[in-house]
Formats: sequence, structure tokens, C-alpha cells
Amino acid sequence: MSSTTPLAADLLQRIARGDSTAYESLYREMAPRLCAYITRYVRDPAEAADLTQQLFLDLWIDRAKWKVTAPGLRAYLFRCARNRALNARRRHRVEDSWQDGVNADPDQAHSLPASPEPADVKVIRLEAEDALQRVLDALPERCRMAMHLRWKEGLSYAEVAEVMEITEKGVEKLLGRGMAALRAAIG
Amino acid sequence: MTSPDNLVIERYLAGDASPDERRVVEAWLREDPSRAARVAQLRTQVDRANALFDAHQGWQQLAPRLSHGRWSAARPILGAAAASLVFWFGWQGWSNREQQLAAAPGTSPSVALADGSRVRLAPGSSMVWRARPGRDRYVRLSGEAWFEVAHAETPFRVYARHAVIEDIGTRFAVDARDTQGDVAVTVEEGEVSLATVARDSTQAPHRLVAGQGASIDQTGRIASLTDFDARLAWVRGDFVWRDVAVSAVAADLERWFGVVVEVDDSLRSLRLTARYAHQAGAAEIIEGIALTFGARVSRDGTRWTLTRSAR
Repeated sequence: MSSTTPLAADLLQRIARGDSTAYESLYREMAPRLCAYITRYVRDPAEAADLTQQLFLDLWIDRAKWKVTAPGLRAYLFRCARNRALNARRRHRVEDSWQDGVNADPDQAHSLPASPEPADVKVIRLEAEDALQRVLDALPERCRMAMHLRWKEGLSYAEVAEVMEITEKGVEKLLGRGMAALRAAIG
Repeated sequence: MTSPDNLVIERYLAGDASPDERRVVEAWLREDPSRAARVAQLRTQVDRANALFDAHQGWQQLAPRLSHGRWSAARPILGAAAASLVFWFGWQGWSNREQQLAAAPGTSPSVALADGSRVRLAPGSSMVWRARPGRDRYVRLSGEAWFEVAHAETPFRVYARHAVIEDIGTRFAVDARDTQGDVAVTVEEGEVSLATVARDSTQAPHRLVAGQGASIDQTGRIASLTDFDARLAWVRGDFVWRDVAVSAVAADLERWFGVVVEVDDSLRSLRLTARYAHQAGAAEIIEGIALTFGARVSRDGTRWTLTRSAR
């Protein structure tokens, strides 16, 4: 299976011992990936970067308490990132509704529509690309997130299941649903 | 032919299809080139998620906050030199000392020198410099860099392997990556002189003006360069390849994106003419190149492999 650059086997022990060089190599490998993943949820790259930094700071402080073994490390980090991103978004919902005077609905946070793009961005996009993008955008967010983890990060079904806190069967269902929708656009 | 199952296509896109499954999907893609293009696009769409996060800069901001003594002393340095690795040789009177900057693969840091000049390092390059207006201004370069030299009476010298480039205020690029061959200089604005440091050279310094490029060999012999645009493309954020071997293209991608690009022997010597923006990102560019040659791309994290499609 295509699980990306192997993180050194003894990395976890070294980090647990407070070895900052080991932590740096984990950071360099994973921070950009986690930030990209978080951006999918929160949309604002600057906020995603802040969340990523905070996550790595908190993880370092709690390094003695990590409940993870080396093979599960990537999935563990993505799961932490996902939780942070969802929490941040729930916070936004609360803030928004506070301003709007509407009650926050935490479930809504899972199905926020893609934020509209400015018109000029749309115009310059190629047509074929546009069709695919439309289908992608129309997919349920969970489908897109599973695809991101699979295609961009090369995570296995089991790892995606771990990150998204669902079963492997659930992952398969999500991907199957997403692919069915995309098939029409692929031709 | 019957089209492959959705989940087989999904595994293909994720890079964990079995060899049999891969063959089925690739045959299906070959049936219809536009289908193959759309699948490549699809992958790119998913891959496009921001590549903007700068791990070097991020780490430099984070490290001091990890409350580990080792970093606290370095904080002011790290703050001043985002996106790169800078070492000052000593604290006291640092402006009198040489400074050093190295660009890791995948990074291209820009640094402002004390005399107001700016230098941008290409990935994988490094330099040592001292810039004291009124005294001396020099850079010792390994690799490739872009210079915007602030005008001053003190000459600004760039030492790159056997070459020395001298000017008093101009914009130019130096390429000394080839550790055996020539050093290339491309001048966008102003005028520079190009010479060799070899003591026994009888060649007089060569003058290069805006719009000219030249290379200099170890004996000081000058040859003019014609690929002016391609040589300055990286400064503008582009790759410009004109009839370049795929193996060399792969090396460029490795430097610029900090990835590994392996190219099948049967593809290495094929030649590519193309222009891409750096911003397009590794995935889009590699997929594009693969489409050009009808090659197959597989990916394992930051390792990409281009192989000839089975016919």
C-alpha cells in the first residue's frame, strides 16, 4: 500500500523523551499535510495554519500521553486535525448565530456548503475542470474528506476509518458514493 | 470493454490498486484520452489543497514556544529569517561577520542584505555573505540565485565556483549548479563583469549588459547563452523547459517541490518542451508531463514514479 514517507520507527520514543529534533522532523513531514486537510474544513488558510500550529504545540505539551503506536501515528494526527477543524467550525457557527441571533445547530457544521468563489475566479477556470469541480463541490463533505485522505495522503481504508471515526465499511460506502457521482463527469 | 468498478478506480486514484486492477483501469483510460485527462484533472483537484503552508517558517515560529532552552536564544534570528535556515556566526557584532543561508529542497528563500540588496536562493542552494556598505559586499554562492543589488560605490561581488561576477547595482541570476561545468550568468538590468578567479587566466573580464547571458568555463572562456527567458523563468515563478531531457525536468521538480521523482529508463531521455507555473504544484505538473508522453504516474507520499504505459 502506498502509505507515504515512512516516519522513523523510533520517532515516537524520541519525542516522548522530549527530543525536539525528532519532533521537528515529524512537524516538517506532517504539518503541511495537516494544514491542507484542515483548510478543507475551515476554508481560511490563515486560520488553518493557526490551528495546525496550536495542534503541534498542544501535542508537544501532551507528548507523554499520546495513545498511539508508530503505524497509527499518521491516522492519529489526521484525527486530531479533524477534531480541531470541526471544533473551530462549530465555534464559528456559535459566533455567527450569536451575531444573527439564531440558535447554533452543531449538526449543520458538518454540511456547510462550499463558500462561493468570487466571479473572476470562476471565469478563468477551464470548462472541463469546472464540470469536475462542480461535481466534487456537490459531493457530501464527508465523501470529499475521505477522498482527500485517500488520494492526497494515501491513507488506507482502515486509517481513513480511524481518522473519521467510522467503520471501514462506512469508508467504502462514502468512497463508492463519491465515485458514482464522479463517474458521470469522468465519462 | 467493460468499465472497471467504481471502487477499483478509487483504489487506482489512491495508489493502492493491485497490479491487475491497475492494468484494467489503465486500459479503460487509454480507450478515451479525454477520459484520462479528466481523471488526471480530478486527481489534481483533490491534490490542489493548499501548498502554501511553509513548514520552515512554521517551525521557526513554533520552536521557541516549545519551551526548550535550546531555542530561546535563537528567537530573534529565527524571527528575522522566515522560510529559511540562517546561522549567524556569533552574536556580537554580527554585521561584521559572515552570514549563511541554505535553501532546503522545496524552498526558495529571499533575504535582504544589510546594504539593501536582495538575494533569492533557488532550492538546494546556499550562500555565505557579508554586506558592509562602504567596506565590502560579497556572496559566495553554491547553486543558483537571483540578485537585486542595491546601487553603491562599493562593488558587489558574487563568487561562484571558478567565476566572479562584479557589479555596482543591477539585477542578475547566477547558475553554478553544475559542479563540473560552466557558471552561467543572466543579466536582466544593468551591467556586470564576469571573470574567473583562476590566477593563470589571461582573459580580460567580460562585460554583460541587460538582456545578455553568458557562461564562463574554468579557464575564463566566455560563451554566450541564448535561453535567456528560460534561465530567468524561476525568478518569475515558472518552469520553462525547451527541449529538456525528462530526467533533467524530474531533477528540477525534485528541487522545487522537495519531492522524489523517479523516471523509468525508457522515458529519461525523451525531451520535453513545456511551460508551467510553480504554483500549479507538483501533482498537476507531473500529471501533465505524464499525459504528454502517455506515461503512467504512481505516487507514494512525496515519491512519484513515471513509467511507460504498457501497450
